[in-house]
Amino acid sequence: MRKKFKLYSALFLTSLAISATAIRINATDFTTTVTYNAKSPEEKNTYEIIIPSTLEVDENGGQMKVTIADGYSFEDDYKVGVSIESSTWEKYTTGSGINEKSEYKFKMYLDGNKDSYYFLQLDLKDSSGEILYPTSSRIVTFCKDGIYNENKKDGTLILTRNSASSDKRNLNGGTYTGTITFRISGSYD
Amino acid sequence: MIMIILGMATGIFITHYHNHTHLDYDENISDIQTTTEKEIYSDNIVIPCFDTMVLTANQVSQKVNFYNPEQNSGIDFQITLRLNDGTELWSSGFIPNGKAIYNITLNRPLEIGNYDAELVYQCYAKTKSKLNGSIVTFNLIVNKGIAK
Repeated sequence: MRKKFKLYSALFLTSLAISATAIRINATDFTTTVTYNAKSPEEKNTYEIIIPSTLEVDENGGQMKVTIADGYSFEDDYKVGVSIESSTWEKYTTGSGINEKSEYKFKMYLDGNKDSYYFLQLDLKDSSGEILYPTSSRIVTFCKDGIYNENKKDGTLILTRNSASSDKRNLNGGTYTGTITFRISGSYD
Repeated sequence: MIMIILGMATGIFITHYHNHTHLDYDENISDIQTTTEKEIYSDNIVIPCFDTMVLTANQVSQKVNFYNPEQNSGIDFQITLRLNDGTELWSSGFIPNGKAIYNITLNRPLEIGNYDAELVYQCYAKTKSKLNGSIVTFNLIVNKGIAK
C-alpha cells in the first residue's frame, strides 16, 4: 500500500513537473506586440482642398468659398494657406505722367475672346472686405483644428464690379467667362 | 320651306368649317435647339494636396500617386509637375475623375537633394472649356531610393 502511494506520488509529481514545464513553454508565446506606424514623409499632412469649379456672377459680381475636405490630419504646427495665384489678375496702367499707376483687375472676356473690347472688370476681396492683390491674396488659412483665425478670413472670395468696368450699356450679349487659379501652400510655424 | 332648310344646312356647314380648320403640322418643324451646349460637371473640384513627395535620384522612371478624385464628376485634370523655378519635370494628358497615375517618366533625372516644387492642376469640363484650377506647392525630396 505504501509502495503504491509512493509510486502514485512520484507519478503525480512527475506529471506536475511536466505540466509546469509545458505551461512555461506556452507562456513564452503570450507576448504583446507593440506597433507604431510611423508615417513616411509623403504620407504626412495630406489633405484635399475643395474649390468651386466655376462661379456664376451677375453684372454686379458674385462670391465663392474655398473649404477643406473632412478627415484631414495636420501635424500640430502645420498650416495651409490658400491664395489667389497672381496669373489670375491682369495688370494694366491708369492715368498718365505722375498720376500713372499700375492696377490689377480680374477680367471676364466675352465668349473667351481676348480681343473683345468689352469686359466685366471685378475686384477680388476676401471675407473681411479687403481688396486682394497678387502680392497679398490669402483668403483662408487651415490648421489642425479647422480655420485659423476664422473671423478674419473664412475662405470666401468676393467679386465686386468696380468703376473701371465697361459701360453696361455697351456690353455685348454673350457669355463672359474668367477662371481663377488658387495657390495652396503648406508650412510649419 | 325648302329655302329655310337649305339656309340652315348652309349655316351648319359654314360653322363646322370655321371651327375645324384642315391645317396639318408643318413638315419643317424640329426640336428647339439650345444656343449653347449644356455642360454637366460637379459644382466643386476636389484638389488632392500633400506636404512632401519623395522621388529617386538619377533616374527618370518614378513612382507617384497622382489622382483625380471620384467626386469630380465630369471634370478632367491635366497635371504638371515642375520645380518652383519653372522647370517642367512632367506633364500629363487628361485624367478623368476616378482615375490615377502611379508611374511617370521625368523629362530629366534629379540629383539627391531637397527641392521646392509645384503640382499644377488644370481643370476642364468634358467640352474642354477651362474651369478654375490650383497650384499646390510642396517639398520634393530626392534620395537614393532606399528599398522598403
